[in-house]
Order: sequence, then C-alpha cells, then structure tokens
Amino acid sequence: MLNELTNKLSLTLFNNDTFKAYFSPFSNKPVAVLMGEMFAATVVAIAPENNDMYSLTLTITGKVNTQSFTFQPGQYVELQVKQNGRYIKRPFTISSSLAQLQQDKTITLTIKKQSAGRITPWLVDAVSQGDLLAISPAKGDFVLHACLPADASQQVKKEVLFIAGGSGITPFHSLLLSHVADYPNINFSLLYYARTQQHVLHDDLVALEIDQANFSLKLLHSERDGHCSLAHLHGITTDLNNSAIYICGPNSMMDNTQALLLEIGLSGDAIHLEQFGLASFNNVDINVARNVSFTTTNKNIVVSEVNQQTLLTLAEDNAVPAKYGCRIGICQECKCKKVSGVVYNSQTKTYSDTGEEDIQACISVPVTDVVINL
Amino acid sequence: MAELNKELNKELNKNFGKKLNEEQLEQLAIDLDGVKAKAMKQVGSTDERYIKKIVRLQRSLEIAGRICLVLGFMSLYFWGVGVLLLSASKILDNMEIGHNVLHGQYDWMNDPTLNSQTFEWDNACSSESWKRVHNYEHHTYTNIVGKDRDFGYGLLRLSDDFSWRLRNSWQFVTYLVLSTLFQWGIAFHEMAGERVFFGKKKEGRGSHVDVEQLKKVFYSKSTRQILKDYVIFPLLAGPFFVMVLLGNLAANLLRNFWTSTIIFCGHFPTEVYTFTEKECENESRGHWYYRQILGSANLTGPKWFHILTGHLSCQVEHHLFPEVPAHRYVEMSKEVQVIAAKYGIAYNTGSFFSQYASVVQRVLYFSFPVGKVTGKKAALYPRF
Repeated sequence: MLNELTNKLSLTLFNNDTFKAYFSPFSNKPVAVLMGEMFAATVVAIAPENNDMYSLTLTITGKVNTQSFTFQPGQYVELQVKQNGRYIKRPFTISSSLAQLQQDKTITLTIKKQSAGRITPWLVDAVSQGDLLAISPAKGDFVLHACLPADASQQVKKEVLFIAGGSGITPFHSLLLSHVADYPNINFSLLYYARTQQHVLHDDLVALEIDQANFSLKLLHSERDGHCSLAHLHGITTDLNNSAIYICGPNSMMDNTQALLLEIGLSGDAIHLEQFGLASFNNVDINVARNVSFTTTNKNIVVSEVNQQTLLTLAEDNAVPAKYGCRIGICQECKCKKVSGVVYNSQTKTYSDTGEEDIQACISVPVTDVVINL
Repeated sequence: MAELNKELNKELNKNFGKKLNEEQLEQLAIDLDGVKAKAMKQVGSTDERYIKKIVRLQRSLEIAGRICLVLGFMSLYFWGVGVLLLSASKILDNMEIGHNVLHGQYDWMNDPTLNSQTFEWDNACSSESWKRVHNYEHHTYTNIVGKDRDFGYGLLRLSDDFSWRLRNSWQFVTYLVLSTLFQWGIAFHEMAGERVFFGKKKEGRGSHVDVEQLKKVFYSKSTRQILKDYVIFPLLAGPFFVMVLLGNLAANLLRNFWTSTIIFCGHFPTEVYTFTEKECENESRGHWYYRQILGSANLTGPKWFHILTGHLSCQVEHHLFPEVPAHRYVEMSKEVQVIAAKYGIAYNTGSFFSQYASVVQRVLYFSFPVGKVTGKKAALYPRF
C-alpha cells in the first residue's frame, strides 16, 4: 500500500515509476539489481575447466520480490552482463551444490565457450574478481522432484539414471552433489560421455562415488566407446524399466539416446530432457520451418521454410494484436520484446542477438524459433 | 587538386536543384545507408556513457534548480538561478533525453530506464501520444502537406499549399501563443487531429486508438504534470508556495519557448521544401531519404548548443537516421553534406539567428493573402 503510494508519487514528481529508477544513473550497479528485478552477483572466481569450458563462481546477494536467492539442483539462471554498453542475458545451468549456496552464499556456473558466440568466449576474459553482474531467479524443471512423489521420505527403492554428454554434465553435477547423501533409498547412476581428457567436473563425482554407496559413475570416452548403447545402459543399472532417466547433452546425442530408450519399450514419461543453451548462429539453417510463439496471446505458429514474412505480418495474419505505424522501419511504433531467438532485420540486413531485446516487428523476419511478447 | 575541385564544383552547380532520377535515388539510398551502417557499427559503450552522463546532469540540474527556487526567499538571485537550472533540466529531459530515447535510439542498451516503450518525460504530452504523432506521422510523412500535421500544426499557414483565410492575418500572434503553450499544443495535437473535443472529423482519417483512450491518457498525464509543478512541489516549500509555483511556471515557459523555437527552425526556415501526397505514393527508400533532406534544416553552433537542442540542430541527419544516437549527428553531417553535394541536393543549414529570422519571415509572408508563390519568392518557399 505504502509502496504503491510512493511509486505514484515518484511517477507524478519525476515521471519515473520508482524513486530508485530516477536516481539509478548515479549508481554503478546493474539497473535490474537496483530495481529489484535481478539478484546481485559478485564474481568470486573465474577458472578454466578445460580448453573450452570455464567455471564462474558468484556471490549472490539482494532480494527479488522479497525473496532471497534459492534454487533446485538442475535449474538454470539467466546471467546478465554488460557488453559494450549493452545489457545481455544468457541462460546457464548451476553446476554447484545447494550446500555451497547455504555455506558460502555462492553458486558456480560452468560455461561452455560457443565457438561463434558473442558472449561465452568474451566473458571469460571480460570479467574479473569483484565485478558486479546480475542473475535472475532460478528457472527450469530439470529437477529431481520431477520424478518423485510429493513426499520423498515415503519413497520405496527407486532408480535414477543420469546420462550426460560433454558440457551437459553441469545440471547433474549439481543434482548429484546436492541429493545423493539426502536420498539413501534412491540409487543414482551417471553415464558421462565426453572426449578423452575432457570430463570436466569429474573429480567431485569420483569422490562422491567412493563416499556414497547409492551412487555409481561411469566415465565414457566418446572416441573409444561411441554413443550411448544398450550395453552401456545395462552395465550401470539392472532395473532400467523402473528408472527415471534424465538426459542432457548435445541435441543429436539426446535425440539418439531418447530414440534408443523408446525402442526398448520405456515410457516417454520416464524420460526427462534438458535442452540447454540456445542455438548459436553458426548452427542456424535459414531454410527450415520455424516456430513463432506469441506469449501474450498464447499462440504458436509454424512458419514454413519458404515463408519470409515479417513478424508484424505473421502477427496480423494470425489475429495477434500488434501496434504498428509506418511499416517501413522508421517510427518504432511496432517495437516489441523478443524473448529469445534470432531475427533478420531486413532494413539493416543484420541478424539479431539470440537473447532478450526489443525489435521492430515490421522489418524483422524470424530466422530461428522465436518467442515474442505479443 | 584545386583544379579538380573547381571542375567538380562546376559539374555540381550544373546539376544543382535538378530532381534526382530513379537511378540516382537508388544510389543515394546506398550512400546514406552506408553512413548509417558505419555509425551504427560504432554504437556501444561510448553512447551508453554519454547518455548516462546527460541523465545525471539533468537530474542534478533539476534537484539544484528546485532547491534554489526555495532559497529564493533569501535573495531573488537564487530564484532566478533556480528558474534557469530547472528550465535547463526540463530542456535536457525533453530534448536530448526524452525525444531521443522515445525514438528508440538507446533501446539496444536493454536498459529499462532508457527504453522507448517505457520512458515518460516531463511534458504535458504523454510519451505514447507523442510517439504516434511524432515518430509515426511526422517522421514517416515529413512535409507532405495534408499528411504531416506538424507542418503548421493546423494553426498556421506556412506554404501556398493552403489557401489564405482571415485568421492567417494574425497568425504571427497565433504562433507566439503556440510557442508559449507549446507543451500543451503537442499534448493536444493528436486529439485535435481526431477532433476529440470539437470540430468534425475528416473523412477517411483512420485512427489507431479510440477516442476514449486518448482522453483518458491526456487527462491522467496532464493532471500529473499540473499537480507536480503547481501543487505538490509548491506545497513542499511550505510558506514559499507562491515563489516555487511561479518559478516552475517560468521554467516551463522557458522550456516551451526553447523547444518550439528549435523545432520551428528545423522545418520552417525559407528554402525548405513541401511535398504532395501524390509525389510520395509508393516512394522508394531513396526518395524518402531525398525528401528528408529537402524537408529539414540545420543549425550551426557550439557543442553545448547542439546538446540543448537534443541535436535537433542536425535536423537533416535526425530525419535521415532517427534511430541513430543523436550525439553522433554532428560528425555524420560532414558525410551527409558531401553526399548531398554529390547529387546537387540543397542542404539547408545556417546560424540560429539567420534560420530563425527566415522562420519569422515565412510566418509573416503567408499571413498575407498571397496566392501561389511565383518568381523570386518561389525559391524561398519551394514545392517539390
């Protein structure tokens, strides 16, 4: 009530929604942190894991909607950085345990450098200890509770199988370090595929296997052992049919593994997949069908590969209300928020970033699957 | 070299003022797109630091100004300084910050406090209404008589495209009144076009927003603005209520005069072209660019002057590149002038005093019942 009144006063006196917003230019903190929309994340350490992965450890402070930061293992956060004067968000999975957050107030994000990415290769050199970044509340449903009944203590013996490919290890690292000791009546197994010598984060997992009877680990070398096979599966668990299975890795690996599991008669409900990261632009095939999701109107439109219409036309053709003006990219009346995906700007002949930003619907053609706030 | 320049100039003079053909227009678009692409490539932390610095300056001026107004009880000198500081803050807020942010020049920063969709300014006109009338109507249909209602604001006769009416004889006074009440003029501008309160709606004039919505937004924004400057801030000053109220009024008036004068200097000096709807049907990008140059005028001056005009002193560049951060226009204008010269396009620029004198000349000239402009005068008030 009081809050509402102060905000009304701020709007009247200073044409800003809050007094904080009016004074925000005097602060060096990220605007989203000042406004209480994101948590403050101070860089504690940034350390390489191998040639193309590194871990970023952050101290999390502040509150969003009066809540302190918390997460369920397996979830991700959006990390906001400022690159060349511009705030950019990217989703990264938390690789650290719940205990680490409780003891040190820190989380660790283990990040893969996308070869043509704008952020991940740059970030490792751009940030240093003490820098202040911002993170969103934790999101995602790749969590253990997805396979447990509400009351876990009543649980009979249960098998949980994790299958990781390359950098897809990150959610499992967090899940295992957080949960194995707490759920003695669950048998956890992990099949971890990576190129030889590239099994990042495996030290903690090896130690965990020695400590805990209910966890077994198998490190596989993709050059030597190939893709996930029935032999690998049976080698680690005896009760595949009663297992909840979680898969995270490159898209092709997830597709193949899922197909294999369905083939041997497992139910789709038992399989949990995590699509991690957004396609970086060099992987984009422009001549494919794309999904355009309009969030406000809750419409999902499949755009055929030959369809090169702008988002404004697509919205109008599908009865999605959209503001517009000049329709030639001058007046900005059609500006709307793109949540994710790449669009082509037909006027500047450039491609957008993959993350959240404002775009002009009248001159933007979807290139990948895109999510638009319309 | 000098010889070559002479040759080039001779060639240019020969083509000067000739209408461009399709091929030239196409080439013009490529050249100007190039200038824009080059500038956009450089946009980054320089622009972020710049706009944040200007916002800090504006906030500091506003706070200092409001404090000085209260201190006016000690000496009238404080009051005077307070008025100047507060009006400078309002001018920065409306021009270098508000106008440019609302064009989306800083949307790329993904900063919610400087975003065209959410920014609100210290002006009676709501930013929503401003964007529709200014960004859409004015910038898309610049100087097309009948479509760009900024050309004379429906109050002044500024070219021979309109026939003379009796009320035009005192239009210089109308102009002065408009300048004095400028923020209310633009707040009312969209509703005037839609004939919300009086008059008959023109046939075929479609609207994007319904009349009730227009009224609602108008009342809520203008009420807030009146409450702020004429009730709440004066009340906060306690016994110095009247002094603060008068100070706020004076600051608003100064801002009104300044913004109105700068805007008139951007489009109504002599030698600025007007266009008809027909000439601009299905126009190419090149032609749109061409019209923007011919329909706008620049002002020369020092850096502080450009900042206080929100870089609308570079009206030509602003009309060509409305989404490029405005502080880059001065630099870009050098390239634009070279391109304009290459195609023999008139590039209208001059000092503040000479441009403003010619605005006054135009307002006065068309207040007389002169018909179609011919002869020597036709060069002063050209139609495309």
